[in-house]
Amino acid sequence: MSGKARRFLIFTLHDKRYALNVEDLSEVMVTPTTFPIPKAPEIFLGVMNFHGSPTPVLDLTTFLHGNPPNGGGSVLILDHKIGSLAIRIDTVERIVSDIRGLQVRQDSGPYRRQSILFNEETIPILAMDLVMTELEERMRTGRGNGSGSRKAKAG
Amino acid sequence: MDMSQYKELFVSEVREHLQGMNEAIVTLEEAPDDREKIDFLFRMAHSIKGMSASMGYNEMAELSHKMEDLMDRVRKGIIGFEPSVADLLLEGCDILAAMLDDVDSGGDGHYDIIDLIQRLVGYTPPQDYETVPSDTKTTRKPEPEISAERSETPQNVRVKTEVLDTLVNITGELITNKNRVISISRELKAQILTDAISDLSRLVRELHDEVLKVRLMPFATITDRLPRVVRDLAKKSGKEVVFRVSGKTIELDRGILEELADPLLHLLRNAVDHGLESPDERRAAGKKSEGSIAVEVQREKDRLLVSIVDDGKGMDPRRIATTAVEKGLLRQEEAAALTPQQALMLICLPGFSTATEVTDVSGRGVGMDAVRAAVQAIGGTLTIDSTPGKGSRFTLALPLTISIIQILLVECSSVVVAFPVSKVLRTVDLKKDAIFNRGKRKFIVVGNEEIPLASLHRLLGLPLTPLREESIPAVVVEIKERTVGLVVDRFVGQQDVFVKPLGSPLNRMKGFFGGAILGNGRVVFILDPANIL
Repeated sequence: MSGKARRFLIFTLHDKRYALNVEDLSEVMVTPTTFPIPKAPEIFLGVMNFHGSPTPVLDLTTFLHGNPPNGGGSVLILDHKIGSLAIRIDTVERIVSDIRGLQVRQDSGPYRRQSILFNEETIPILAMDLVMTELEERMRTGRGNGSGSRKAKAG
Repeated sequence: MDMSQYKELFVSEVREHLQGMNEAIVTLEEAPDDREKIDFLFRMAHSIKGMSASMGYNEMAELSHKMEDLMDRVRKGIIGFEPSVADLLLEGCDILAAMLDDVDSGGDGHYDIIDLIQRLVGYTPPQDYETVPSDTKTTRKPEPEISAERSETPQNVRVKTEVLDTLVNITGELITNKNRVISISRELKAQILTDAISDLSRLVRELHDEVLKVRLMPFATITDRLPRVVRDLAKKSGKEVVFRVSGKTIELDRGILEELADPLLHLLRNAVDHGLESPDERRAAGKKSEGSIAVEVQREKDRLLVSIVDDGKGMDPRRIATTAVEKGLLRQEEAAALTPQQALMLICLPGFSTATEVTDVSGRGVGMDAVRAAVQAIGGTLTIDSTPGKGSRFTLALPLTISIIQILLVECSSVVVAFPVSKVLRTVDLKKDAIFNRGKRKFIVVGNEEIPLASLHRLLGLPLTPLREESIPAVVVEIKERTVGLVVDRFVGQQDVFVKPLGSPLNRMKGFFGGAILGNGRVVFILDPANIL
């Protein structure tokens, strides 16, 4: 075991809990104003101005569950080494660390390799590299592209 | 003494020296008696030896020492600068460059140099080589003092490129914020604020101009290595080439230069491999056995024209169009409607040529789709002119900077997008009765030309809006060698913006040149019309 403790951010989405490695994140903020992304799949809320950089906002509820969100929520800005992407989630719950007996297990569900056992609940850790690979493929091939991002369709 | 803090400077300086040596060696092959170049080569080798020794890279020092010794024999007239000397020195430069790469990536610059050292030390001229006449030896200028090499060096400061990039970014943000303050001022209708912004705008523009000047680098930065590249390609393909570069002191934004290096190399490779004929073929065609390839750089208003010109076999537009039809890239009737220049551009279509299937027609198309994409990615255009039997000219028209451009904002279904003004041929306000049908497609007449009309809404996947009766705005652009009118809902306006490159995953979408933040904070996408389909 390495000496460095791993920390995970636990958030909710569509009444389910998910976790993200804190190292994959650079910032958390309330959902900002977004602008349409022409040609993009409807899984995107739009594009936001993140410190002067156009950053697409992925609606994680639509991406994972196919349902549109209730509105509001927060966005998690990914670390630039993962990509230029923000993801909209419902609520941020807490940050946990594996330093005090938090169990990290192998997992094989969609967009995950591991999960954590916290308060007797198994919470999947989203593998953002797998999410990015899927997004890049959808952008490249236009797969699932409807009438642009949700804002573009709504006008 | 810890020399690691000087490593970056060492790598940078030796790389420059090697670049200069490569260029000088190729020049000396054509003019072996050029005394200045001979002295220059000697000095460069001497400098690399000294710098390497002081940094503790002993193998680099030893190799450059032996190259210096060989050049000393040339300087003293003991041997001439025959082709085999050039080959040895170029081999030495290549190995020094490899050692330098190793040092740059944290290694110790180790390389097996024993064989080359032996050949440098034991070099004897070929027997049929004429030695330098004795009078040349006696009348040559005194050898310059090595220590005087930098006596007249202008006072320059090396600045890390990251610092320059940050400066450009900050200036870009200033422009974005200036636009924001202008928006607020319009809403407030405060004259005193408007006047103050006018002064601020002037200062920001001056700052922008100065910062961009700092980023300018001479075209020579990427052309200095080309004589060597062309020489090697020519030797490999058994062709004789006279290569020249003109206008290499013209300066261009570093960002564009970096993106231009590969396309330029590719065009030159194609010119040598597929453009020029073999010496026998040229003689049979009544030409000199030596082919000519030139890179011509010239500034024209606010853009730069880079032409790659050869006097080779040229291309026949009709044969290219026929080949494209045979490959299923376009229909016969489409091919028949093309102008000669449009037909030549077909070689840039993906699938026109493949590296495994190269013919005398398709050869010039190898990798041309990538070349055109790279040129378009930096806001440039590619045009081709060619005359069968006479030669070809590939011209790249490039912006001087890619950071800050003027855009035309348009609206489609409440979505605002932008066109780079440089890509807009014209804008038109159409009357509904000016639109007519040809088959299933709609056309308009612009100037003397019938051009197809398309909906930007449809291309961007946006809902269509009903055509208005009074006037229909359209942007005329070029898409895949065809002039096309794109119908929009309205023109919003023009402004200067700082282009933000799109990161992953947005950069995987075709048809976008970048993004920009407007003064009101709105994020807009800048379209790349040529790749929008």
